[in-house]
Amino acid sequence: MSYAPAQTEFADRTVVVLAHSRSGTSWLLNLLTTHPALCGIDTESNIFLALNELWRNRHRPDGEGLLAYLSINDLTVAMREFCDAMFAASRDVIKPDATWYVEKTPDNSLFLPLIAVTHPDAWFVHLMRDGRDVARSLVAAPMGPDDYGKAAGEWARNVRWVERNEWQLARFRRVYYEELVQDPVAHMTDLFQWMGLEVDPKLAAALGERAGHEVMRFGGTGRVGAGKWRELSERALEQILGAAGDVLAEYGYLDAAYG
Amino acid sequence: MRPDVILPEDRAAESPLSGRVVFLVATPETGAERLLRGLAALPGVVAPPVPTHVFSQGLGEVLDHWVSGAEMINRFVRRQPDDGTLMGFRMLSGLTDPETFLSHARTLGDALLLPGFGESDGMLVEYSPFHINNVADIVTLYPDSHIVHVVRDGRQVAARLASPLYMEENPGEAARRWIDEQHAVDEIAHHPMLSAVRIEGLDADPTTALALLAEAFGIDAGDDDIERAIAAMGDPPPVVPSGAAGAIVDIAGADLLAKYGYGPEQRDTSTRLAAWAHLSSSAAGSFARRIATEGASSVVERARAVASSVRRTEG
Repeated sequence: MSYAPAQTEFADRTVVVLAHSRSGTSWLLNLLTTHPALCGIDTESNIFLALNELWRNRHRPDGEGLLAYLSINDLTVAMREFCDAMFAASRDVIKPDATWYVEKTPDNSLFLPLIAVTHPDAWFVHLMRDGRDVARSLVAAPMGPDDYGKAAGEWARNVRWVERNEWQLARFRRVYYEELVQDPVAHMTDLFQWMGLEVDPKLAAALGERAGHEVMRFGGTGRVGAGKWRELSERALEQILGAAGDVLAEYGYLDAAYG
Repeated sequence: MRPDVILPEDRAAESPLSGRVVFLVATPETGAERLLRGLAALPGVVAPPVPTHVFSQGLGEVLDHWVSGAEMINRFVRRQPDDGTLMGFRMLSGLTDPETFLSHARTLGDALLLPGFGESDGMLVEYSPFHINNVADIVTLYPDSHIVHVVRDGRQVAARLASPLYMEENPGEAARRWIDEQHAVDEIAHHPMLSAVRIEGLDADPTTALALLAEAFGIDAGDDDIERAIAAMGDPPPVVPSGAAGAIVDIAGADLLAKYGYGPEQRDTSTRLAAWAHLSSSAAGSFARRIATEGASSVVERARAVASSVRRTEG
């Protein structure tokens, strides 16, 4: 189930971050790559989006396309080798000593049926963040939607998409942003140990230092943190609850501790 | 967008498929499938049983996820004001340099095509209907492959494309497709591995045409092989009345018809007038505007004048 489909240096050593945009993926990447073995880029590679048409080609309903002679296994191996060759090229530039690669494009959640096949051995980390904060951050971002309801709806769909495909992921962890902010060292230590990586005191100290860094901020002035949605108007909160109230409730975000 | 460089020659030479792939590019109803069958009958040549769509639904998309040039990168990527880190959509260009990317993309492409050879250690010939719009992608990743542009009289092609089989909206759309797709090949006009085959010429003298193609591809084909290839091609389709779509090609694709050596076609006045009217009508507005921007504004003006006179006559 969790074996890599191809002989590759990143077998069992790929981390795929799943989250909607503005959930803190860059911050999590910064924390993950504090470990000397891990590396990854802070911009979005969209590598699985780039490969998705090939995947669709192999599954054409009209009988045309690569299915005429190419097995699923051959396609899977080819795509995996492409990914890992690109990751290795990236690693060679940004952190040549690293042996793991972190892929954190937010839209990865939407391509889980593909990723689950090419990367069954990967460590999937679903970064869950309060949809109200995500919606607030999305609307503030230059490339985000203008409407809080639409932003929250996008977040909710992303969460549902991860839930729907979770069964395919042998190594899956859900990490709550709010808990990570509260105690980044403990949660990151737990995450690293889950992946079989050691955390020494030096790394723990570096994690604590890096956790406070501000990342991916669009128009904001505060530091990394949770609960910024409280700055929103009542109207904006109504829009968010209308679009994503059920998901927020299911994940406890409307409980007293958060709400 | 794709990288602004192509796969280096020495890297292409390392590929197990170096010089072994022939891409036929053509608008549907041109006769490329017949040529494909003929070539696949030559010794050492194989062809996938169906269009692979490997570029139009696959490798083209991979190449399209490359962002070239500082200006484009700056459009998608913003720099963090406090610590200077980059953020945003840099796509695959965020991972490595263009040459390395193309090398890995070529390896991917080879892995997709190689099983199509089966046991053959010869050539693979491929035709997919939309690949004519991917010719620049093909050259970028497979500069060593042969690209054969199969051409047929656009009036005949458009007439067939205008049938309900193709779901083109109207004869104008069918005509536009043929015109646009032939122009798409202009992008690689100077590529040394590009050749053009007029299907009418092939049908007139298939022995010579197929022997020349076999020689160009380095295939050792004897007279019997060529005969088998001709038989595999089958008979050409009958010529059909080209109708409204053909009349529009006559006007809007006049440069292409001349370029590929297709002479004027007899046509009744009402069909010609209808074609002019179509070009000047609102439905074809974007088509006409495009023609205008490509340096044939006089065609649009003439179309409007003719349509106006038609309306006056009808009134």
